[in-house]
Amino acid sequence: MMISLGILAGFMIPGFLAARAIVQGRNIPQSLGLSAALSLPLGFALYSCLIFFSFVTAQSKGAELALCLYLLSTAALAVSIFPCGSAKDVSGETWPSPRQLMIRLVTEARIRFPSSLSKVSWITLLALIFFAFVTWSYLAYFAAQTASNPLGGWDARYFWLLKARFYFRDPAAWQGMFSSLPGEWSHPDYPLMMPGAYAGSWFLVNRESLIGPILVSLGFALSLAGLILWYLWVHTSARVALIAGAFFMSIPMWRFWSTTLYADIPLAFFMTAAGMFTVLGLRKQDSRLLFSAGIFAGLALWTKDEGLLFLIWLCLCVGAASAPFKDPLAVLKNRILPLVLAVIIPLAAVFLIKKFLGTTGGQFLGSGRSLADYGTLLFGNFQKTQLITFVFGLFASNHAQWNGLWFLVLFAALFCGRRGYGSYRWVYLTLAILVWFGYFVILHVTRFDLKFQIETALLRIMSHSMGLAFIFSIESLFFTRKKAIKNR
Amino acid sequence: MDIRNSASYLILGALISATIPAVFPVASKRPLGLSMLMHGENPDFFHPGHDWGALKPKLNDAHTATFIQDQAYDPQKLPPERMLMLQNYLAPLILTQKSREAMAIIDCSSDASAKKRAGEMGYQITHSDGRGRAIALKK
Repeated sequence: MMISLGILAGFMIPGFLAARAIVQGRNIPQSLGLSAALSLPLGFALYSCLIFFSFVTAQSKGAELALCLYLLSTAALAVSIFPCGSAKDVSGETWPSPRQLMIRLVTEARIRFPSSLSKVSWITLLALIFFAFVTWSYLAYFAAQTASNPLGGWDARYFWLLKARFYFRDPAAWQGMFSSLPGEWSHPDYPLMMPGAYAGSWFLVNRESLIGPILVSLGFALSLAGLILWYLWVHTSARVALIAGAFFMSIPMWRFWSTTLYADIPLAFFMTAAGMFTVLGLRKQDSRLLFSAGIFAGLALWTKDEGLLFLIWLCLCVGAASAPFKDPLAVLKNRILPLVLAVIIPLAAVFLIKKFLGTTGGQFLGSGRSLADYGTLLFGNFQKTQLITFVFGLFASNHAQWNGLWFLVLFAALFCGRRGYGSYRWVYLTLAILVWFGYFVILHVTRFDLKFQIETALLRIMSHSMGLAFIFSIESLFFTRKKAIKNR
Repeated sequence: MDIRNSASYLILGALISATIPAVFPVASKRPLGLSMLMHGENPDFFHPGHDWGALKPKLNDAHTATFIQDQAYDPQKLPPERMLMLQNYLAPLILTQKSREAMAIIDCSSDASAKKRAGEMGYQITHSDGRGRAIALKK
């Protein structure tokens, strides 16, 4: 038990400090809840980035360097959010003393949890019991699945965990994970969020424990649910958030894929967080929140290659949201630039892998195909386009996988009314549609067999936008004007 | 109660009724080995490829090895699951079917088949467990 708690604490403490650094001073309501939801994924991401750059610079001493940098980063984050003396934050507010801070934390907590049950309506209480039951049922399901299959599915075993073993077993030979010798299946040029996090869970306890990667996967899944719960709690109402959160936790796609240790739920988390911070940044006209959105978009790119497409869609959405502004230079400086600047570190890591380490030639860039080839692949076969469209529709309407999620999204999109799209809520739906559109295009130009891609990947990659689409549907149907004014 | 409120309750009701059947049946039995897993390891769990445990120390510091099975390598086919399993178990050793490396990992159904395949591929067996698994060096 101590090992499990140690692994969780090892990621959660630095991640929580990083989350506080992100949300502090941004006038975000219930920010402790948001920090809690962000903490584990940020901890995984911090370690994952540090271990990669440590191995690149220190080779066989990479593990030790990563640990030093991880501890230093944790200390630096702690100092940055708990400063002493009379230093001022960016808003000009004087930093509180530790005693004042404790009082503030307790006061915040009291606001969140009313002191007497009589202040909570019986509907909210029932919703809370319902949510707790669904959470418990998920944990029981997750435990049963992972205890019987602790190594997860194909991708987890043969990409993510395999690459993590290269980090852990022989740091001097870590570059073996980029070898093209085993064959194309090993994807030597894939980004390394998951291997870094999995290896981190082993380095923390100094052995290849089975529980480490399982906890990482559970952490991502619960953080995605927690992030959605926090957002809906703040932007709709407690009872709506609890019931909607329970519904989200019942979606078989989310439940099942979290047990397989794949990278799809983590990618969905980072896409959802990036979209959420983009909307918050646009609403509050806060470029630092857009910078945070860029951090999460960069981490999506560090999780899977699909993150690069997402980054493009995000920039397009921010550009479209800024279209009414007359000064394009100001838009570039205050909105697009923060997004792009935040992506530089993960982008550099991915560039290093694709250009110098996993140099087998990508599926698209470096595949030797010309623009004309892509044109033919995209527009030259109408039957293929028809087939892909049909399969998308078929998969989206699969009740056994989605529990009706996409019907809910369609219902919200059609009936939420014009006001439902207001307050930049349209960004969520647009991002979700663009993510699907990206995969729709990729299926046209993929080098792999189309049937194979559809059978093995399509349903899974459709889940990347589930968080974004779900937030849109619930918020657009249940938002209240009172809350919108309060959260401004 | 206005129309918007009624619609909200209807939608929440629909969400609840979609949630309940999806979370049943709840896995009620405590999965075997979970508590051991929570302690970091499950001694009853054997990593796929553990049957190579006895030969693994004989690999020394080799970085790459050719993987040989009963069937000849077919570049049109996906690599056999067994190779992927052993790749995981033997990493950081890199297994390949594409080239003839100085060392070979032979994973056949019988000792006779292992000897036959080693000969065909131009390898000399140096260590064998007598059950089709062997390490060989290029002749």
